[in-house]
Amino acid sequence: MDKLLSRYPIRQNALIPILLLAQSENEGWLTELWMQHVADICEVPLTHVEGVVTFYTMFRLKPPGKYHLQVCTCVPCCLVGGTELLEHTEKILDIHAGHTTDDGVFSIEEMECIGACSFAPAIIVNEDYHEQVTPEKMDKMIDELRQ
Amino acid sequence: MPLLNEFSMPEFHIDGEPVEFEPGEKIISAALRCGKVIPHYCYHPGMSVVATCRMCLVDVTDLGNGHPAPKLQTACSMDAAEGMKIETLNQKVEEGRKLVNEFLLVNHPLDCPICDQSGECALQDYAFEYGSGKSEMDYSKRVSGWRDIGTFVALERNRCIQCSRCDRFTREITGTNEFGMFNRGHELTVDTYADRPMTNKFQGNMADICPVGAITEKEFRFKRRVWKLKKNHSICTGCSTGCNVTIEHDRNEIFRLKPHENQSVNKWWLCDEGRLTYRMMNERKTRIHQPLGRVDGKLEGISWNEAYGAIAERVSEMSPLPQEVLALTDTHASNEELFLLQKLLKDIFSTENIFCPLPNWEQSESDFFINTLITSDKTPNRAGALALKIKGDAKTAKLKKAVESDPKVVFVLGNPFEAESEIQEQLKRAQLVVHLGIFHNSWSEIADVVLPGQYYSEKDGTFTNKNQRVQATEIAVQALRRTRPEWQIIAELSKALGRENTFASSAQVFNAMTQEVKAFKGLSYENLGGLGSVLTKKTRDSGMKVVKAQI
Amino acid sequence: MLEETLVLFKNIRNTKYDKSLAAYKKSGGYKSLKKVFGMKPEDVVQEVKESGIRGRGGAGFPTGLKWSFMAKGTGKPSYLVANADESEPGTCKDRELMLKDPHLFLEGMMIGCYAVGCHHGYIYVRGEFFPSIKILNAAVDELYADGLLGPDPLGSGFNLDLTIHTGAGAYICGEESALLDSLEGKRGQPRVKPPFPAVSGFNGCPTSVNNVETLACMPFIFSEGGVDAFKSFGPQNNSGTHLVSLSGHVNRPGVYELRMDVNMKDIIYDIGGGIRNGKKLKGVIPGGSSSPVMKADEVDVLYNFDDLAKIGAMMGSAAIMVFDEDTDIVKLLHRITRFYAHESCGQCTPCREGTQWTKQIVRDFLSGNGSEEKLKRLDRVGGNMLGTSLCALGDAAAMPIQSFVNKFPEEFRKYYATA
Repeated sequence: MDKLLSRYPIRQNALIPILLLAQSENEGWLTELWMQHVADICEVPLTHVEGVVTFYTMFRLKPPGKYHLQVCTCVPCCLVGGTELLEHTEKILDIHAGHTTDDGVFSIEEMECIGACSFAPAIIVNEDYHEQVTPEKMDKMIDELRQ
Repeated sequence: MPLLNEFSMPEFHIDGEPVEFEPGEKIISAALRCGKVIPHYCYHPGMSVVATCRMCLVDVTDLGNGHPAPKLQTACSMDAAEGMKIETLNQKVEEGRKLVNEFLLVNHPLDCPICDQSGECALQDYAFEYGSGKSEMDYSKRVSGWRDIGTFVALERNRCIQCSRCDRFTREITGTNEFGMFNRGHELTVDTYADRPMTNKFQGNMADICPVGAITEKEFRFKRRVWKLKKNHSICTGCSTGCNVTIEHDRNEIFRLKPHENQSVNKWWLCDEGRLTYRMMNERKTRIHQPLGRVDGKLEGISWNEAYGAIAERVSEMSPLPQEVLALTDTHASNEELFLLQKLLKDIFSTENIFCPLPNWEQSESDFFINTLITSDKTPNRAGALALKIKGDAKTAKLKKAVESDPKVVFVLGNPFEAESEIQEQLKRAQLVVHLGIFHNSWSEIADVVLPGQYYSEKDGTFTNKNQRVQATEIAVQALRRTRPEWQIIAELSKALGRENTFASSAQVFNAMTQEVKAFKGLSYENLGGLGSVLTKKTRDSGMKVVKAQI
Repeated sequence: MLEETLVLFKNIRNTKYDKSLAAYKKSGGYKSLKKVFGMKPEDVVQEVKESGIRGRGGAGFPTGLKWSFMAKGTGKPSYLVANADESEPGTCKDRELMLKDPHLFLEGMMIGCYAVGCHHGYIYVRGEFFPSIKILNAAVDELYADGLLGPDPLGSGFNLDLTIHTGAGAYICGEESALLDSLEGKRGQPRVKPPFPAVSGFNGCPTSVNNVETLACMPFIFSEGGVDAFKSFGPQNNSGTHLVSLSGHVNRPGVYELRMDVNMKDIIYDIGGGIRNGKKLKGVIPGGSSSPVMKADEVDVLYNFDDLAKIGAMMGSAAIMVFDEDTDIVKLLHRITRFYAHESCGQCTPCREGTQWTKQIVRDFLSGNGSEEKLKRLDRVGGNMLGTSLCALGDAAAMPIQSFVNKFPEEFRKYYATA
């Protein structure tokens, strides 16, 4: 983190990377305590941090599942089955997008364009891209992750 | 490029009329200064420009280089330029404003009938002017409800138009950062996070700058429709800063104080404590309603003539020596009242035995201007007393001596030294104690004659603030029937005691003071205007200590 | 058969290329940088001007001109920020570059830094691009280890640092002033302009924000005979090759490097292999979701900035989204309006209220509540966003709406005629 801070002229500049770091330290989500901690590090008011956290979609204020399935349904993916893929995933995991399974293993998020349009439909699982995903591929992936 | 005369400011044209501007000035600022109407919500001269409400659209038909701007421009974000031509009234502008206003109204609850802002609401005014009167929005509106967000104000988020003035206020004006913008897009809210209450001492200003009814003063909620309120310019007497205020009242009852812009004093702001001083203006229970005289040890109502007659009779019976007369005053009194009381002592009793409390006080120092508005000196005219060379404190030797030498005649103006019981104990023994005051207090209890004065909102007068600026108050409401302004009482008393003077107004008293008192030389009541005048010769206040502001 | 013209993808199309610094150097990498270090910065800017390169991020603003606007003599440091916040729906070209040939982009970035006098360049990568971030960080580490970054690279005396900065999910941060706010550690809300970033950008210092692909063109421009070759790749004012992201209902979606004098029809039918499942073309969105839609009979046009602008379309970020005859236009527009309603920052009125309202109107058609009046209203409300919002997102949201309504009105009518 000190290395991060040293890359910027002022501490506030490092706010977003440090928040992402804090989020990954805390199993993928942020609490007020963490936000206060980051605010102190970056020397900004807590409300500023809260404003930033609620602005960006990657910050989460509730815990995600162990495997966070981010399904893109934006225009190019939607043209070639992204929406159906999301519906399929929701059905097999029996949760809606934005929710986590009861066992805390999977959560689904509906994404706006994730920049893999020529390889649609695409999803991100935690930090890995998977391209041209079909419902069958999704089933297989979920089965493997469950193991 | 033509050479500019060094005394002339550059010029541009708004609707064909030439308007001067300062280099770097925004179009809206120059336009508002010369009385042009440019509707706006997010722009505020005291805060940074965000150009987000999009209401102040104008048509720039010539950028100053012969070319028009490609589309409508926001007047708040565009610098005025030499030779620029702006149109604010053409059809293009009209349509632009209409569509922005339509967007603002689609999610506004239109609850004007129950909204306190109604009548002084920018959204309401512009909707009246630019709205179609019919909404094409047929979906349910955004709902987020009422929030108790602070000691002084409440937030009705449904009414918010996201202009972010309140957010910028806590960031740029108070530096307390309680407000923020949260979420984004259609869900954007401007409020305190998770209803955390605010703590700053200037929340009322957020109600003032909120262009709609989202932030309102709790104190004023559901009290009175604003169009019923009559307004008078005055000075806040809550402390020695002398913030300019507007007293807003209806049927002789005062409902609120609002700041009145004065760049040399309070800019656009007023603290919450100052706003609450309106309560005392409506106070009736402890007011002295009529002249009182002590008959058989009890205070009883008498007429003004009886009061003056009794005082004159007692004084002539005693014919006191100069050192046997003493006057005490507080620094709530106006310059005129202090001057006349001092003059009375000098002219009639040939004494300068006049004292007021002058405790040490603290001036806050801060990076944020607004924090310097609050001082620990809660009286409005300490500097006036110093300018008149009225001295003394409970601890000074001179006052001690005057009190301990058993004065026969004592005049008390207001409520000085209320905490110094030994002074009161000592002065109880005087043969004649005359109290001029507004409220019953421990002085009226020991007085032989009580003469009822009037509150700031009921009389006119001038006060000298901590920066030696002399400012005038206006009569806002009608005083109680049997009270009189103190300057008049002292003038009449002087006449009863044998020295006739012909002051018919406090303005005349002020102008006499400018002749007789060095510090006030060169001023005149007529020239005080709305902004006041600074004393030419400043008096040093050794009781002031500068401290860091506590936020 | 139409062929790719390989400038940016020269290495990527080589199956043996392993994107390491050594491999990049072997293919002639960092030679241009060495050449640039021997030039005066103003000559570098002049050469970029001469190449005629226009920004590849969407607006197509001449890069050389942008760099020449950088305020000088302010006493403040200058910054170059690479915009790798690729999030315009349909666009996935920068991701390809960063994933598969990071050094090409980094060399371009370093040339840019030298040109604008920036000693610490920032690369703003969107947060979801986890793999790209890893690869870029590794490549930057390689450069530091090699001495190409840090103090005095290649004996130039020009100290240079690069930092990979991660975003956290906001389309609007692709707008340059919002990107700078985000880089400063704030909410990514576009700023009032002027002042432009070239005068007051990152932390109030002169800043130039450039797209990844734009910067990746620099090594070629500064190679031997680069400027002339670059100009020869397209008609006047549209020089160079560019990366076209082809997606949707084509047989071979992908990112292709093409000259700017290629016909869009050929991109779809030749490069893209035509419409899949033997269907017919209904239309295309020619330059990312923000551009006006084109009907099937309009696609016979050269795919470059000016030729598309002439027919009222735009090339934007060169993302062609193709849809076939079975596509439900109203559903497609609904998805687009949903995107803008989700991504509007909300600070300015027309965009905050307009994106939501238009989304609701389009949804009405889908739920059987459409009407002729609502179609008119959709067009009107969309148009009201155009030109009145603070940044270009309002325009970007408005253009597809108006073009969909005007070009496919019968598709909307189908919904309420049958209801």
